[in-house]
Amino acid sequence: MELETVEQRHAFIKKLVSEAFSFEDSLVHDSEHQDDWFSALNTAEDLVVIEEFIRTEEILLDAFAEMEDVPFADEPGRKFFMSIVDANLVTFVDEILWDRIGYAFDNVHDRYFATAEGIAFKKNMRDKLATLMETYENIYDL
Amino acid sequence: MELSTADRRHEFVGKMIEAAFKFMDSMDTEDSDEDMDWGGAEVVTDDLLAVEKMIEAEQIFLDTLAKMESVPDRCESAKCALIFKDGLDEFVQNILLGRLNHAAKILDEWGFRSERGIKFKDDFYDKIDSLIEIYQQYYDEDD
Repeated sequence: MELETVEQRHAFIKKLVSEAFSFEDSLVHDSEHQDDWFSALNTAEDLVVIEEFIRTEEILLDAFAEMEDVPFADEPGRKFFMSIVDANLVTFVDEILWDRIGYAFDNVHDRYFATAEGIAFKKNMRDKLATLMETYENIYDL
Repeated sequence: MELSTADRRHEFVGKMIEAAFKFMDSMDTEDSDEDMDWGGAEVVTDDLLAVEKMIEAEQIFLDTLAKMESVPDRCESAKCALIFKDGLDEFVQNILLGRLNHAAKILDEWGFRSERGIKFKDDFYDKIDSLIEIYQQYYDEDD
């Protein structure tokens, strides 16, 4: 899946959220599955927060697109203004969004899954979150 | 505690998180009522950890807005600052308030049972409510 645009990244995380919830839903509530159920639920909740921050990234990018259309009297003035805006976006992505993806990655890495399905789920989530982190590192040059 | 700046709100939520962890540590998970209440506090704490991060985002956005507004007064920079402020409002209304409301809903619906659990619920409900009120005011003022 391509992750170049924020819409693609949003779709990607939404899919992960629904995968995590449907895995959690599919588990029988017995002692064998209790660890997996709890770990999957916590993973899903971490993913929901990432989704909220990608929505925030979308809000910011929409605002910037709108600013691009504001006619400036002079080019240096526009450049100076847009540099403030760019710095804001990079700081947000670095300190908030990317940080939170790392937090979810570490959590899923540390969580205990008992069954083979649980272990496969964990590996899949870890790989997808790593891909997402790498995408942000490349796009925003972190 | 005054909640009029993002720094103060950040500190306020940080203290709530600390108090929530302390509360969870104090609960006896062998007791079924206290164990149930522990679970409710855990869900609310997860929300508060997300809110703390969102207030950090708010701090970044407010710093940017201050920088934009300090650019010598020209109509194009004022226009851009307004667009950015609309984005900030959208973030507060949809993302930050969404999380706070979620935390309030959990507290309301969890069904805290033990004496200490009910006290925790009442205390945290009031605190989250005052944050919600602050953010709603902030949003209304901009409209």
